[in-house]
Amino acid sequence: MSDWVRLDVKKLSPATQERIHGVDITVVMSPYDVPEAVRGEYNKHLRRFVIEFRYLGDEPWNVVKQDENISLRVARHSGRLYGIEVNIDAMEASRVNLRLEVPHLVMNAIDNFGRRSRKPMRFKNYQVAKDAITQKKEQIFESLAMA
Amino acid sequence: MRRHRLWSSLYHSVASLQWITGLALASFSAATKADATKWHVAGDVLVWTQQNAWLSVPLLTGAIGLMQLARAAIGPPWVWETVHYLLDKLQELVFEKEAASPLHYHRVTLFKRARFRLSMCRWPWSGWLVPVERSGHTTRKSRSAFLAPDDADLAQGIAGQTWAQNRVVIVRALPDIHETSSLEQLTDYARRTWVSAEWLQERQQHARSFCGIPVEVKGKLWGVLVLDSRNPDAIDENSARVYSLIGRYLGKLLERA
Repeated sequence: MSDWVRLDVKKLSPATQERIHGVDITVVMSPYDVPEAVRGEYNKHLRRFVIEFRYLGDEPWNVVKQDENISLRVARHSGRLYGIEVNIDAMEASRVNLRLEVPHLVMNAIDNFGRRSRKPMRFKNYQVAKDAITQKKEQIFESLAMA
Repeated sequence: MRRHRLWSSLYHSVASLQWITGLALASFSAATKADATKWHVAGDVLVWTQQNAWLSVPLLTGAIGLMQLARAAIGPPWVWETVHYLLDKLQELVFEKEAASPLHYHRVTLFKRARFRLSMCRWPWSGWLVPVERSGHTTRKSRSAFLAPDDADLAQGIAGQTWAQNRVVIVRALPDIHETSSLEQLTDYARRTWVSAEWLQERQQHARSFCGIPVEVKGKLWGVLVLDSRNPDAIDENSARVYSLIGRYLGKLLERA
C-alpha cells in the first residue's frame, strides 16, 4: 500500500474575515471538512485506481457510481468525499495518456457530483478535495505509469 | 460541568448491582431444576423460588438490561478522565506562550449539544450547548449553557455561533469588561460575542479572545470546543489548527461516552 501524502491544510483552508450578524470575525473551515492526507494507487483486489482522502474523523462510506469508469466514495452521514475509484482497465488508453486523462476525468467527476449533490453545504469539501489533488498531483498519479 | 465523582460512583454502583442481579438470576434459574424435598434447610425458600420463577427470571433479566443501558448512558469513568487529559494537553499546546499567567486565564471547554436542558430557563427544549468538561482543576462549577436552536439566527455565544455555522469561529481583541465598565463597553462586548448585556452582568470574569471549534463524532456534529483567554491576542487561527493533534482521539473517546 502506498504511503499517505500529507497535505498543506493551511493552504487548503485559509482563514477569512467575515461579517456575521454585524460582527467582524475570523472563520476557518471545520477541521473535519479538510483532508489531512491523500494517496493514490492501483488496487488489485478492486481492479481500480483508487484515490483516498484521510480526514480527522472516520466514517463509513458508500460507493456512488458517476459513469462507467468512475465511482466516488461518499461518507454516509456527512456526505464528504472519501475517495475516487477509476476503472483504468476499461479505458483504452496508453500509460502515457492515462496520466493525462485520469486527473481530468477525476476533476470532472467531482464537479458533476458537487452540482447534483443533495448536501450543498459539502460543496466546499468537494472543492478542497479537488485542490488537494491538484496540490499533490505528481505523487498521487505517479503509480499510474506502473499500473 | 460534569461531576466526576458523582457519576463515577454511580457507574460503579450500577456495575456492582448488575453483578448481584446476575448472580441472583443464575441462582433463581438453577433453583427451578432442584428437588425441594431433598433440601431440609432451605426447602421453603426453594419452593418459593420455584413458584415465583415465572416472574422473577424475566424481571431480573430486564433489570440487568436496564442497568446496562444506564451504564452506557453514564459512560465509563476512564473515558471522561481521558477527555479531561486531552483538554489539558490542548490547553498546554495552544497557550504555550501564556505559561507564566494563571491556568484559569486560558481555558479549553467542551460543550455537548443537548436537545433538552433540565433547568429553570426560557425555552429549555430548544437545543442547548452544555459544558461537560474543561481543562484544569478550577472554574469547574460553571453552569453557563448557550442556546443552539434549529433557528440559527438565535444561536447564543461563541459556542452557539460555532454550532450554527459548523466552522471555526475566532473573535479577538474584545474590550476588558469589569464592574465599572460603561454600558457602551458592555453592549459592544455583548454584540461581538452574541450574548446579552444582562447575561454579562450576571458573571464576573470575561475572556477577551475566543475560538470555537465544531466537534464531530462518527461524522455527525456532536458539540463544540471553545478556547477562551483573558489575553486579547492569545488566540488566532493557529490555535484552531492545533486541535487536529487531539481531534481524532477525542472523537473516538466520545463514541464511548
